[in-house]
Amino acid sequence: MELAERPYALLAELTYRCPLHCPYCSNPVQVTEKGELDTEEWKRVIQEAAALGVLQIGFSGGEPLQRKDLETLVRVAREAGLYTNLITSGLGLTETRAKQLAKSGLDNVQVSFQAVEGELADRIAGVRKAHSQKLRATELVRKTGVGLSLNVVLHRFNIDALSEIIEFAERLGATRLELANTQYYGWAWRNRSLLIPTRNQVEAASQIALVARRRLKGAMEIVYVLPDYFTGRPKPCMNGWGTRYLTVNPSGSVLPCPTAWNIPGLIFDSIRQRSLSWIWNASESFNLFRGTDWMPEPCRSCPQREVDFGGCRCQAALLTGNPANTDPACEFSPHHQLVREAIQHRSDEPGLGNWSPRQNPEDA
Amino acid sequence: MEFNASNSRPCLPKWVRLQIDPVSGKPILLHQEAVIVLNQTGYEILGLCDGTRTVSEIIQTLENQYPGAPAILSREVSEYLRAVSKKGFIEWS
Repeated sequence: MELAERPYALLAELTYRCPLHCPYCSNPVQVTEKGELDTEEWKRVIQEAAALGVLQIGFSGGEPLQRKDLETLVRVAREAGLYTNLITSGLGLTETRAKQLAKSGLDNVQVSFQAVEGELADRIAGVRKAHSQKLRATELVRKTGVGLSLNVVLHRFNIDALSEIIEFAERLGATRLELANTQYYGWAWRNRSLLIPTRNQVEAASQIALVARRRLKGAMEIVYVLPDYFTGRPKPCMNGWGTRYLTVNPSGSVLPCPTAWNIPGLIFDSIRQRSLSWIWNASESFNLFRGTDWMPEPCRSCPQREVDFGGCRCQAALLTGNPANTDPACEFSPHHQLVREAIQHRSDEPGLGNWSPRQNPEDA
Repeated sequence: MEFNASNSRPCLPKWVRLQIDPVSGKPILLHQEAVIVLNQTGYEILGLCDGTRTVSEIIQTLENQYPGAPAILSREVSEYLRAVSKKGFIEWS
């Protein structure tokens, strides 16, 4: 990157409402804030983001198609010069909406899939016929000419079919496939022992992803989100806290990372009270883990400190109770044992469907 | 889709956007996850990739714009397009 530091990408979480009930959802298990931002408030967020230097916006959720003003917001973002990406389950995408979204200037649609085989996919999503609706959605996207990418969250119940998943994405004409090993936050944290795969499963999958990435270079980009519980190295989370990314949640709180809500005691300012620029530059939450001064040992003297930035603050908070600790996924963390134990204590029962399905805020 | 004959027509796919970064003034290529900073030559080459011009026509246009070293320019354009194509950012017709 040859451009100066500033936020590049905004994740706009338009709503926590979603027709799916995936057990690995990273949304909050309990939503405490009330009241979604309205259209005018989102317009302001988008314009302020563009003024800060943001170049890309991802409309996400929950399911962003639940918002009737999605098309308007896409148009506003496009007019502000942003690259627009819709991150969706595909449920709720009709032919009319697909056409309208394309007309509004949408650049790309990322559709999530739970598995290749319909029955398994619907079990994981917790909705009947979800899979067939997703297939239909990808057809509609292809027809409009807007870019199509796929996202599949990998866990114990689908990771063995990775080769089939990759072939499936090729058949659907995706230009990009994101294979995300489950990250254990939100509902995934609650269902962790059931979702966690075996080391053998993970190693086989990582090899398949590597080979496919080489084979498909230039035709379909494969992004493989590493299973950090198994690699001994933490993720370079958000490329460093408060360096490139902004998330605005449905009620307007601004977070340095989509799962930062689970860090206890941290207060996130809202665009209802403050400007986006003030929050990015001056708020306590965005400055708390910027740079390397906050780091404890072993991060402080580690040659990797500006490569992985000490890993994930949310994971440190969840596992050790202190977000300023080294991410326990790192083998040098004094808490690394917590990750090893989680793998050892993974559930061996058949387990399919025995999880807590994600619930919508109003039913929770 | 690594087609790069002089009579084939390169085009930036719809999901890739070529624009000027309003903050730095530098030319950039945007897609879903990445921001790629281009040099001026790259920006001008890609700006001509709209699916109507062949590689030869793109070279001709640039040669008219920059009379001087056409032999080097021609090779530069082909190599640049091949490199961008390998990343999947060009469709050929």
